[in-house]
Amino acid sequence: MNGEKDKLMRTLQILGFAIVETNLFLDTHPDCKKALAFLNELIKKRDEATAEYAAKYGPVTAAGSAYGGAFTWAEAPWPWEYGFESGETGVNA
Amino acid sequence: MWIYEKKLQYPVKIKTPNPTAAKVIMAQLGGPHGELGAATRYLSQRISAPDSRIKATLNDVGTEELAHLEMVSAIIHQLTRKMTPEEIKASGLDAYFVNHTAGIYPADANGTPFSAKTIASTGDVLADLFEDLAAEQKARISYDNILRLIDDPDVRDPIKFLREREIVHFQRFGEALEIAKSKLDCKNYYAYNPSYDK
Repeated sequence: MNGEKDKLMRTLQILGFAIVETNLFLDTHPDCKKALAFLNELIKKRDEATAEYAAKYGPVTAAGSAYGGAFTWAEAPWPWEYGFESGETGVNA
Repeated sequence: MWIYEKKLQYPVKIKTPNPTAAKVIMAQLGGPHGELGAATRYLSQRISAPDSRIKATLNDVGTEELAHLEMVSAIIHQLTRKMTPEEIKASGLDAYFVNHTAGIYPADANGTPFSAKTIASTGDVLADLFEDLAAEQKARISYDNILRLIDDPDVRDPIKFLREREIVHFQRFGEALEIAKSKLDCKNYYAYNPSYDK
């Protein structure tokens, strides 16, 4: 059980979702400055949260940042596995 | 190209396996309104789409559908953990089990393998976008029907998320259709195929 890891993963999911949603809106409204500013703000937060997660718990993408002494990408768990999220801090809890 | 992110778009954590629920949800893996068809449909259609905004919409919705395929796969995988032969027989998943065990194979709820015959890609932006609007509605109906059959909140939660995305995608494709119409001859929408006629 790792509450802090789950919380940070949830933050990545929330920011990632907001980015997908804003990106889709901008696809059909490319001149909307408000949405663009919101997207830029989200990307900054996502980059910070991704770096923090990767430093503490392992990479989010296979080649998103350089590895230390060990290739940790392949390590379990993978996201579809029961137990990827221990769930205690999640929206389902 | 694509870069994989080692996370689900929305969390899936199902405490209680339920092969009967898995069989029903197979509809959205490899069925006619499912996520594999959605991703294949939009990622194919985008290539000949005539306007950058329409290309972007098809590209980005198609990419999101791959994340939904992964979520539906995760739901089925977690629902089919620790099955006993008695549970498999009682659930009706036995015919699937004999070929695929608890593996993930893109078939519909009846076990019929995924078919590209369930999608269209015509090179005609109006035909494609009307197909896409209908596809999002059909997928929403399938998720509504799944919600009518399943009580477990652990399963309903990610299914409700997926249902909501169909509604947002319908809106974006509606906007893409308005963009397409604004660039065609409003007195004769049908005389021109932008992927072929110059």
